Amino acid sequence: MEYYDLHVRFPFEKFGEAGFSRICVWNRDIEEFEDHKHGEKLLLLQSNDPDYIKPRIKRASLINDPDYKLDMGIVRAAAKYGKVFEIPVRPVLTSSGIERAMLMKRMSRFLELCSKLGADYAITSRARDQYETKHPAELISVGCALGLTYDQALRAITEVPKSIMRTRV
Amino acid sequence: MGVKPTMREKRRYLGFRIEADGRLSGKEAEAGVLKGILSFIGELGFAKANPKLIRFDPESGIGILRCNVPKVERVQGALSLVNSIGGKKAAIRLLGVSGSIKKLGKKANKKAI
Repeated sequence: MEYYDLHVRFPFEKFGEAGFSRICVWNRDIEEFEDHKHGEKLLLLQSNDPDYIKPRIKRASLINDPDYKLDMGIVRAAAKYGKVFEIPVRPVLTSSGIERAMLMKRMSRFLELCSKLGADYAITSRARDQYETKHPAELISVGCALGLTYDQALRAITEVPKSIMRTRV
Repeated sequence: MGVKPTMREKRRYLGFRIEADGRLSGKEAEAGVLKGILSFIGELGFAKANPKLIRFDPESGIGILRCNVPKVERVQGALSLVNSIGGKKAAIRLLGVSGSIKKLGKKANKKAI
């Protein structure tokens, strides 16, 4: 099975050893991602303002709202145009206590809404160094902790990222 | 007289490797792992999971943790989210889950630890 990590923020050379088939490294200069091996590019749309996200959904490959606001309009539009929400693990990893609990609650509710409205989501690591990288099994465990079933979490690191790579901008 | 086999606590063994920014002693590793689980699944979850560090090798950073079957997924999630141990930057890599230590060793060896 091919595993993908669509958002890594450092040159992660040993991604094959970590169990991934392909990764995308964030490129600070052009604000796009680049497939580590194949030079393909993805566009991340990130904002906590729904009015900023809505008109730009069609252009984006990945969408992320750091606050995980429950906006049915955005989720419906993403489902309609086949766009994918990014669920990064790093914010959960770097927070603790009540902050982590609240963040996980918001993520969990957001994933529930995505599942209900048929929008896709991809779990990514957003790792900035080797200690923040996660193996596929670990990403699945985090997905399960966020309320996904094993199959949903598995799909979020296999089929969904693969479909983005196929229909990239 | 013990309990019936059906009433026995069902356990799973989790193999893991700690990658840290420096050498960790057994006590540091145990404290870090258990603290990570406690902070993630809470006191009640911790009591139900009943995690215990069975062994830990400070040289290789490889260890075995035991917990109850219904809470395995939660414990796995908790281990994945540990980012520092004993004040050092660290990550816990899961090597495998098994019902016996012997089989866990075989699984871990297959992963070329």
